[in-house]
Amino acid sequence: MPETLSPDEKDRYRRQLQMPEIGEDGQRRLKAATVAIAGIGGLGGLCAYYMAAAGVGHLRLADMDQVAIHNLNRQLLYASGDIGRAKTVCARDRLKALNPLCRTETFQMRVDDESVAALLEGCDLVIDGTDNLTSRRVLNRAAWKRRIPFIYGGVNGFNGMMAAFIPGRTACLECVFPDTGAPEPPPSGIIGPTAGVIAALQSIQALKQLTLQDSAGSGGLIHFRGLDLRFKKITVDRDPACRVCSST
Amino acid sequence: MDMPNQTFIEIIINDLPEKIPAGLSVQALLTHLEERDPHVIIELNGRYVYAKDYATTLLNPGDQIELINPDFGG
Repeated sequence: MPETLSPDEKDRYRRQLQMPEIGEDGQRRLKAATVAIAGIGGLGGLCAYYMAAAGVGHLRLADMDQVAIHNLNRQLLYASGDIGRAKTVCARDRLKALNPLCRTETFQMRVDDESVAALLEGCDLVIDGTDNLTSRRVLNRAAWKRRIPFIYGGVNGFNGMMAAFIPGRTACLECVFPDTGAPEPPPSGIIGPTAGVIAALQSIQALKQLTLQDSAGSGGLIHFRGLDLRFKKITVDRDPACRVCSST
Repeated sequence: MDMPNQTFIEIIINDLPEKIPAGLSVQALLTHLEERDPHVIIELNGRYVYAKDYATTLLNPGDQIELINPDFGG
């Protein structure tokens, strides 16, 4: 069983401890959890903030970029004074200020087949904060191999998508987006609240998975359209011919 | 280009009724609609369609199809 909670922790997380779905057992699971967040931008930064606030004990933060002024319309973890600083370092400082009980490790790196092993080593869950399909496929393969839930999120303008890919229970990312050799789409426009909606959904799924574990619903593929405020849930079955998950 | 005497069927595309040539597959519909997103997601009558099945999945009158352009920004 995970570690016990101190009186300070019981006070800090009081509103979560009140929830029957979480309670003290769930909070202790959060405290014992290690979560990797790949990409600390619009999605990953907000997810990191939610994870630290909720009491996840250990966060691994990976990004290779420095804060730029054009990030600040949506990457709310950063401020104007952070421009030019490494996102991982700024994120670590901000999360420390929010919750000193949360231990953070920073990985100044691009996600690829070589670097991903260190990031995911010993993790309970990985959250997608990347901005390209190539990195997502790397994360998906690595997460599936290690039997770690992978919480995908993506945004574009007013729209966004989210899915929890859970080894042994759901389809994987490649079932939905098989590698056909098609080129990556170019960077798109984005408003902050769209990233907020999708990051919140990713964070809910992550917290459910960490606390409720096998009884947490996977939820399918969620598509959000901001212009008409519509959510759509798409049920995706595992592809028996998927080259990533069909053999595991 | 539509051919004379070609038959059409009505299906629902993204919540709107539309007449399309009869006998189209999902792949042919994407060409017909000039859909250029190589990652487009298809839901047909509430079921997700794998991309590898687009060419062999035929459309019937009354089908409800949803084309969703996925989002990859972060």
